[in-house]
Amino acid sequence: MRFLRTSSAALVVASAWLSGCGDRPDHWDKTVELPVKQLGLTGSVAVVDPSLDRVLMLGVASGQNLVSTPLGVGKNIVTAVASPDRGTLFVLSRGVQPRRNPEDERPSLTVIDGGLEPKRLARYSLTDPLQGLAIDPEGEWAVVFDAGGIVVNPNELILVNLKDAKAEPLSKTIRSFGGRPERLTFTSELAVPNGAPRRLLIVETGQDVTLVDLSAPTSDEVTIPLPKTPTGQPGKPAQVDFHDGDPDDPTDARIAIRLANDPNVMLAELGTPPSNEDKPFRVTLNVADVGGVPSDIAFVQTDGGLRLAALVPSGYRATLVDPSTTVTETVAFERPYSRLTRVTDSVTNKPIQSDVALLWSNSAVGVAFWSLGKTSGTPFRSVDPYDIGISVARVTNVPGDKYAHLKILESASAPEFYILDLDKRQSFPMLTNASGFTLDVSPDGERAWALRPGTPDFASITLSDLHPTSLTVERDVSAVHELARRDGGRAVLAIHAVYRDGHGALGATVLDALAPDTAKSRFYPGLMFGGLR
Amino acid sequence: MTPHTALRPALALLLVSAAAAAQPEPEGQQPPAVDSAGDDAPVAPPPAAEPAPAAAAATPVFGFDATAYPPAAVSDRGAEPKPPREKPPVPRWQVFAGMRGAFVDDGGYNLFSERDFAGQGSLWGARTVYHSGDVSIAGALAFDASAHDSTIRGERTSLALYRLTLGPEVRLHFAPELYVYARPSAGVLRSVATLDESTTGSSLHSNGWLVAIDAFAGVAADVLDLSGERGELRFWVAAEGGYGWTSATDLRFLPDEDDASAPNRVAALDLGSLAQRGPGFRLAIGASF
Repeated sequence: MRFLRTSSAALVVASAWLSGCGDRPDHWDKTVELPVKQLGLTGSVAVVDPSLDRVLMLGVASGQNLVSTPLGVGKNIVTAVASPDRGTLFVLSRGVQPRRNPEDERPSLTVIDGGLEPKRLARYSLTDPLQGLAIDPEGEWAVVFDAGGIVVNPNELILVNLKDAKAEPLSKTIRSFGGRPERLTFTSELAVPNGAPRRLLIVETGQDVTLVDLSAPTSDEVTIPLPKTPTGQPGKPAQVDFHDGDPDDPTDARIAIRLANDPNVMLAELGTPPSNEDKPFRVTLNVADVGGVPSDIAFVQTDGGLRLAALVPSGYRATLVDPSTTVTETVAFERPYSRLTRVTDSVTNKPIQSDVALLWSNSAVGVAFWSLGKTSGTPFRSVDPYDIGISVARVTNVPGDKYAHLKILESASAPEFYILDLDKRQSFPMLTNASGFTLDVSPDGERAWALRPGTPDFASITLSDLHPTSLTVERDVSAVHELARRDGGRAVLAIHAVYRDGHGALGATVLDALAPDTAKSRFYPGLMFGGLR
Repeated sequence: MTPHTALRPALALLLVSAAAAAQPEPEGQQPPAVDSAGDDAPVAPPPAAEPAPAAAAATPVFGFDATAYPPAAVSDRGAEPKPPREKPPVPRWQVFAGMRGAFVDDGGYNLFSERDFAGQGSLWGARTVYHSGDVSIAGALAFDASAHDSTIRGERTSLALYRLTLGPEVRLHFAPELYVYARPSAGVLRSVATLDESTTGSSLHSNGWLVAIDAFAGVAADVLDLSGERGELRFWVAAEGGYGWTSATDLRFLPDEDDASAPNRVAALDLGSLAQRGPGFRLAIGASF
């Protein structure tokens, strides 16, 4: 009897001890953070998985065969951004904060190839956990900014040279007069009086604009103070634009600054510095009153030369400012156009010496073509309004050259959108069965995909003949991404995101993008388990 | 099912058996005769002073009120008392019930359990087929079953395992009440895995048949003898340890073919493979008859 009692007690203790042995890997217990961020790239769809510090790159090998490639990134993902050409993904991570041990991971920027064979191209270790990320459209630089924390240097910029994976990121603190970087713009190459043409980084803070010479990032930056507004408040930059001017003249590159709630626009000329200064340029400022608070500015070439066009919707007009003299000229509009898109490079027969702009507004129905080769003397003849049934909230460009003459005009609320042919000056309405749809143009510029998120319905629009193909898949769709297939074809992924009980799950329906047919689709569940074992 | 819940039935069985064994014998009741090798000192049955024929007739054949090995009972007809029956040197038939614990360091099993420990219910039976001296050989058939459930990244999973193995059990008897044994066995393991997947809104399944091989060795002790006139009824405690091996099966989850709620042409969700391999143990109570 004593044996039985002793045995029983021993078994209880042993079983309790044994049952506590050996935990499984943590990744099975990490739920999927909501919402699941996805970015469509040229050959992959990147699904950001912050709870596992990784990015899942979804590609299609052939047919409808989905391939998932998990790529580790730095801990504590802050943001992920695709390059403008959708070929590269940038993932900014905070690392372990605060760092307690030497082995705690530092902040980092991971660069991932978004093509057919996704891979990590580079990982840059950063010194500070910043939150903002600006990507150079020409692919040379990434700038990390916007510090957070107990003690921060909000004016610190970390410049990452993307052309050299082994280059140490450069830390630069811009002079501050009370503002902090809010928006960054990379210029194209601008000729300067002293030295080779160079690119500038234009940093807009809350009350000034700073120019950083990207050919010598550690050299002193140039700070452009802004005038106070009529109400006495510090001027706040709202938009910048730049122009190299005459290619043969290294002294006429200019930067224009639109000020928030201010009828003045500033023109900064990168002129010749005094002979005793060893600087590449000297900034000369001019201010022009455009007659009302402008909503958009852009340098345009007119038959009278380079001008800064400023749209003043309250006055139903645009003001053209001669950047050399700040002399202004107004062009009246029939409608209060608030946005301007230069489309000169998009039309097949480009005007030789002048620009063509598309005028649009979210508060006025219709668009207009503005032929800037007719502004001199007869500015009223330069605007050709086109009636379309919607006010335009967004103009989407078509990538590539083949259909660059097409622009997709979307409304904020109407259940229709328009495809505008710049060559023929024709617009083609595309009707949908409800408002609230989103549009995405394929990276190859051959198709557009319209989707009403949260429904199983979406459609492709072939841009060659504007033929729509409606599709209804078996589950609600949150996003549609077209991508190149590894076998040379093209595929479309309809992403199904389900959020339930505080966790998310992701699936996808894969179709042939060139001949989408739901009867030949394939459904992939459990995508967030990709690569886990 | 967590390992704790898996343990619960087996522990309950153990405790029940312990409690049952610890019950005080009814007053005036003669304790069963036990072997001198036990801790409980042999208690020679007091001589039946005045056998009561009526009482003797009411004595059950099994149970606590049974007379295990009849003392020199006096027949009511005045016949010579039968000699006490010899305790058989080896049990003939045995059945055991208990738990099997296994330490499964397998990635596939992690989908269904938060720990590497797998608790299973276990039944096995054995029949002695050969006996010579202190050695005997029995044929043993074992059945282990378990259910496990968990969540992976918020999605519910479950796994049911059914293992049936057959093999010889070679025993070395130190005494009629104590033997050690080794039991290699082979058989099959049926795995039924389920994943409740949110985007399909369906349950996805991955089922497989696996080859199962076990090699266990242990000790069994007779802890309670309730044998009576009609035959043997002895209770045993067995503890064994060893290694269990199975082949691997792919964990490729798909909805059932007749699941109308699932999307069409669902691609298999590949989550690796499952193999139940690792050291383990069994704790059981049983009976021989």
